[in-house]
Amino acid sequence: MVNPNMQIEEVTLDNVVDKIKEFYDEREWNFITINATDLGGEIQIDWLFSKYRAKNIIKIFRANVSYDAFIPSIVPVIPSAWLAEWELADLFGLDVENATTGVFIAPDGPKAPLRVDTKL
Amino acid sequence: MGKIIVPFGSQHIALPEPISFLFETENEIITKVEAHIGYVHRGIEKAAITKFEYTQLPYLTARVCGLCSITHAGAVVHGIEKLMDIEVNKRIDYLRMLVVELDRIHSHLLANGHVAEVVGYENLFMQTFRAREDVMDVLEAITGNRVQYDYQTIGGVARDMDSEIAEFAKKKLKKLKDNVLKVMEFHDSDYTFGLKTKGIGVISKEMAAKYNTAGPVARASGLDTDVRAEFDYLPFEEVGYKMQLRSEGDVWARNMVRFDEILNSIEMCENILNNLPEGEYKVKVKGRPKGEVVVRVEAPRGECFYYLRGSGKKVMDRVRIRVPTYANIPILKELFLGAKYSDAQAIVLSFDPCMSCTAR
Repeated sequence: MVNPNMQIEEVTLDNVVDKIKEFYDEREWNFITINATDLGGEIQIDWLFSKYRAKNIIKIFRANVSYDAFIPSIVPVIPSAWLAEWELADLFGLDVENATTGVFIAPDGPKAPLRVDTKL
Repeated sequence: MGKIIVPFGSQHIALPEPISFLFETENEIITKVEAHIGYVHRGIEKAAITKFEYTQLPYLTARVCGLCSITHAGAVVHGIEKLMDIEVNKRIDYLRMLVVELDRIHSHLLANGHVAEVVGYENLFMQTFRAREDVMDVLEAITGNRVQYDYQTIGGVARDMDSEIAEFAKKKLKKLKDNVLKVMEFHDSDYTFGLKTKGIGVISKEMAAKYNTAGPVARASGLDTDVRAEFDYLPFEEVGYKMQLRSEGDVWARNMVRFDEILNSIEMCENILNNLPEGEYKVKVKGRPKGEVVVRVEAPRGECFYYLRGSGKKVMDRVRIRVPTYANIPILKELFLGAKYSDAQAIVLSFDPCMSCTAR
């Protein structure tokens, strides 16, 4: 069952920045966050948006990527996205463009704790 | 004068919780900022997919935050109910709304009290916190606890409310409203308080939208966003919800928009208590959560977002929590640039930051 309020658009890492640039108008859309889910063998990344002054509209750009993929930054389009991108690097061990690590987890803390195979 | 590096936090007199900023200043003006936010990372998202069954998640997520535990539990309950096709009755909705709005009142009073404290008004801080005691009493009477309420459960609420508690709550809310109006009047009109808060840390509406600002911080800048108006999770409009907006965008406006919301929340609570529908306070729950769902709820500090994914097992596959303070850190960082170091305390506290939530 998929929540009917979610409008999901599949993207690739090659075109996600362009797709979001084309779609995003800061007066109309609220950038919520970037979410990653470890599906076991690959990671699903969602870039999530909600619409201002509208009921129950959630737009998701979704890409399934390998653990060692290079994730492009959307900060040039959405300046507030750096925090969510840095979190992907810390909590999932992903290689994210321009991300600083050690912000969410101390540098001597566990590596990629939200991957399913990371046992704590 | 050359550049001076000034650390602000992680332990600082103005900070209720650990966050650290490293300010580079020139003649008291902040020219560069570094933020460190991972001091209390507790691994709740990891625990939610490894250690706890879905029925325990409302209790676990309530521990994300001591202040808005009702919001976190409510979000996860709403998501799981959606995944399991559970419909609850109107009494349950109204009881949930009641505690959510009471929670907003006490959280807003706490935030405004802290702002008063850091701008040098110890007595106003105490008066604000004294007013807050009444709403704490009401929450305790309804839920049994003053802090970790554990009130919202999958399929209902933990306990029903009888007429005696409803009458007690009405009396307390009346007293609370009188006290809030007195404290609000001081925040609104005191000249010296205005000097410390008006025109300080100004966020324009455009800036609020550019940095995806959430909650009272956004609404104090005139950005009309509130999850209670944007996402159907509880029938707020039925009980008198009205979006509160201010346009000044400064520390003062952030305090005042919280006061406006407190008054609206009191009105909503009174309407709920006067029109509480009949019905059971729990419904039967069967099955296990399967699928994925996004949930948005309006926490006292703004939009709280949950992503839940289950595959019909007892333990969920993913629980993602994005809290409002997290959403407001990018704008906070920008706002410091060009501000006086002496205003940093009021600016931070006017955001009502919760690092416990952020480093969940």
